[in-house]
Amino acid sequence: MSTEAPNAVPLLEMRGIGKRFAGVDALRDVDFDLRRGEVHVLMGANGAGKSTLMKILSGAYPMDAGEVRLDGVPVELKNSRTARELGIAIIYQHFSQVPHLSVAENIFLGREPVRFGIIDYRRLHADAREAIAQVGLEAEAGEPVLNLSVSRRQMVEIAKALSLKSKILIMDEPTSALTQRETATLFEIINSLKARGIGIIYISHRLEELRDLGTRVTVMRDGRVVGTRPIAGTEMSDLVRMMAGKEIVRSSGRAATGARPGREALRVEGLERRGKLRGISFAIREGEIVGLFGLMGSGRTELARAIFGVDRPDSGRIFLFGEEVSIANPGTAVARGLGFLTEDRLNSGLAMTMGVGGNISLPSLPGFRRYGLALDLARENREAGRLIRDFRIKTSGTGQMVKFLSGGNQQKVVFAKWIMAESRILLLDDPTQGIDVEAKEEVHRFILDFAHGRGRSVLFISSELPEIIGVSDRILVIRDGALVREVGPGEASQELLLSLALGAQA
Amino acid sequence: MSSGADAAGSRSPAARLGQLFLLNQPLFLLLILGVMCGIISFLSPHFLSLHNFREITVQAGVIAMLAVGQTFVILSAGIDLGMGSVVALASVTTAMAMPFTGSTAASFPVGILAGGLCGVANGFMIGVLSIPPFVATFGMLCIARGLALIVTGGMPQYMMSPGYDIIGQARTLGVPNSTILVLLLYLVCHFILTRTPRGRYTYAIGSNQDATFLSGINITRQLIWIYMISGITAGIAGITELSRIGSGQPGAGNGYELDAIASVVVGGTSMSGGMGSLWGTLVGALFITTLRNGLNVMTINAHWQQVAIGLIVVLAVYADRIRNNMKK
Repeated sequence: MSTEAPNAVPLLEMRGIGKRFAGVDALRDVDFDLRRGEVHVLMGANGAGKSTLMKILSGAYPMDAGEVRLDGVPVELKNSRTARELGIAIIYQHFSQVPHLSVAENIFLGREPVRFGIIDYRRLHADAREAIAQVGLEAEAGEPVLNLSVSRRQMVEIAKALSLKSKILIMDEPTSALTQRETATLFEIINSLKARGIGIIYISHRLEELRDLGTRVTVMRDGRVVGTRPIAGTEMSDLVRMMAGKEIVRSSGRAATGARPGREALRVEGLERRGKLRGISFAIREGEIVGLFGLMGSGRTELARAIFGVDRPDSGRIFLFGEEVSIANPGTAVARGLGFLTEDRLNSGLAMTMGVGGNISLPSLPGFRRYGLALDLARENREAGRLIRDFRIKTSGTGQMVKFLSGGNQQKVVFAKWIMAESRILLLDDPTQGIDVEAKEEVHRFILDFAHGRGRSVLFISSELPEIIGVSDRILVIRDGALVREVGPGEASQELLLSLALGAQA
Repeated sequence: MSSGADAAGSRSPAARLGQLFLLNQPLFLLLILGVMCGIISFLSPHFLSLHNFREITVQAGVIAMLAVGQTFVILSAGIDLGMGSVVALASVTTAMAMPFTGSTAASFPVGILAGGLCGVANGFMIGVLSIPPFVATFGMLCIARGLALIVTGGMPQYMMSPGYDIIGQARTLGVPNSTILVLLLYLVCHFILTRTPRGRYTYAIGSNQDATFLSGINITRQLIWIYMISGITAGIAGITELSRIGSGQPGAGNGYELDAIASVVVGGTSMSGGMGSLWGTLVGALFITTLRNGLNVMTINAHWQQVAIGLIVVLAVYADRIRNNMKK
């Protein structure tokens, strides 16, 4: 066994790491260590702090408290450059490669061997061949990386890390885009790296495939480390329990209002989209909030996009209020009473340089025409102003540019937009991410009122367990593009949802 | 009274007026235009005359018309490089229709139609084929110019029908008809831009095309419409040019699109789309033309004029950038 004795000085020690964002603790007093030749698995639900911790280690974020030691020596991780020079390399899920440059050029980007001010291609290719041989990659040094498959591009990243003499490799869900055979190849390489004494921090939820590879597993929750266990002898169910945390009492919901769901509003039958969605069927009734829980990349966003007509499904049927419809584009969806709040406010949610009023009325403009021609600006302004008050959007007026609003207020603008458009079914993709606690509660109250008060329907996607349990009437769990199971109000627990989403339980 | 109102009230009216002019690109430009007129009339006795002002508005006319269409396009975060060539194509097709129909009223629509078709072709390339606006309209720059040369065999068309000069040379109550046409065009298009859904969608696409698409707006149709407007204004500019010079020239309009772009940009419309106004463009077109005219009457070498205009466009946009940073 190549792993050193546990009592030796570890390769990496992080002690008491703390990090705050806008007054909120993202990490608190986190301890983490890594030994030579070890694969240390890091787990936690979305927002648990894994990425923040790794960003601190790779120098992307400065830490607010704590200490990092390499081989027992305290180091300062000023930026990603110092981290790289100290031998820490991170391999992102989405690689930071220049697709049109060759394998060799990518590996040595920014540090090409130079002779007389000109890139020495002979040496570049020789060095690159040596680097790719170390990871057993079968590719020409001169091949543009865009010609390579995802797994081979990953090998290029690893080769680059090795050529940088990295001692610590951070891998974030490296097998999520790989086939079984590619995964096996990757694991062979990881084993050879272990043998060379390189320490690997491996973020993944697929514990089963890590049984033979990993040594220890650390679970994070709410910015803290819950515990570290040896992988041998640890059951996935133990880890899920650690990730899930305390149960919260369902504070709101149908029981409080006593309302009964009405007729069927949306029905989806056998929705398929190659590589993304597999045979999805479910229904939402009027007055109902259906939660959709899944990890990132599980197909939850793809499902909402397919229903809204953004991406055409390959097959499957969609019914609205009992009538089969063909939704070719968002225009049809909006006309049919659907509204979609995207997970990416900045890039696809709002027209940032337009006013609050202009954003709210955007889908509803034809209705403000007088004689089918000119917009009744006074009426538009009045109705937008009413929604701004209803939603308590903090703005200087309908004309203020949306980009000057806080995240929570921006999100409320999107809600107001679909209320003005008289949407009857809302598809909400993670509507509370990145907004403050107060705005979050307002969003919850709005969702509950929209469904239980007004008798409309909501598909509520969220990565936050307490939230999705607290707000939804029932919850669908999605994993690898397929619905795993429906969880009713009585049985919904963080532990159950997590184990379903992780595939630890069917 | 609230403290906020007190704070605003405590500032002098002059200070508030000053702030208004500094923070608004069209007003700021108008101010600079006034100062510039003062300096030029001080340096040259020929500048400050009714004749010369009439001259400026006529010179500004064609560029101002093109700048209308260019404003729609730039607001949507696009660009129309083909306008100058479309001016030529509209001008020669109108001129060739004249001996055929014998009527000015029947020939002018031919030019507008030609311009509109070029615009629809641009819109199709951009909206349906997803070709970047720069490339699509650059293609149109070559194609329209080529077509203008092909249909005329490279020869100017002189066979004018009676009353051909109605837009370009005639006046009403002392005001050049082309100036009246420009004002009408601006009024109508300002109305479209600020008071119709399509006008609003033009801003929305420029601000965030994805968000606009996800709000249910048909982006393809809207882009075709925007470039069609641009083509129609180029068609109108083409018949105005024909009416002014009394012949259809296949070489007409060369480089006009650049003056139109300069007018739009100097007038405060953002090249990245979503922000700007037609009123700013009008001031911008006046500014560019007055600058050219002023440099002319001061008998400044034409080559130096190019340098001056280039510098001023860059400076005006830089001022706008600083201002936008200040507003934050």
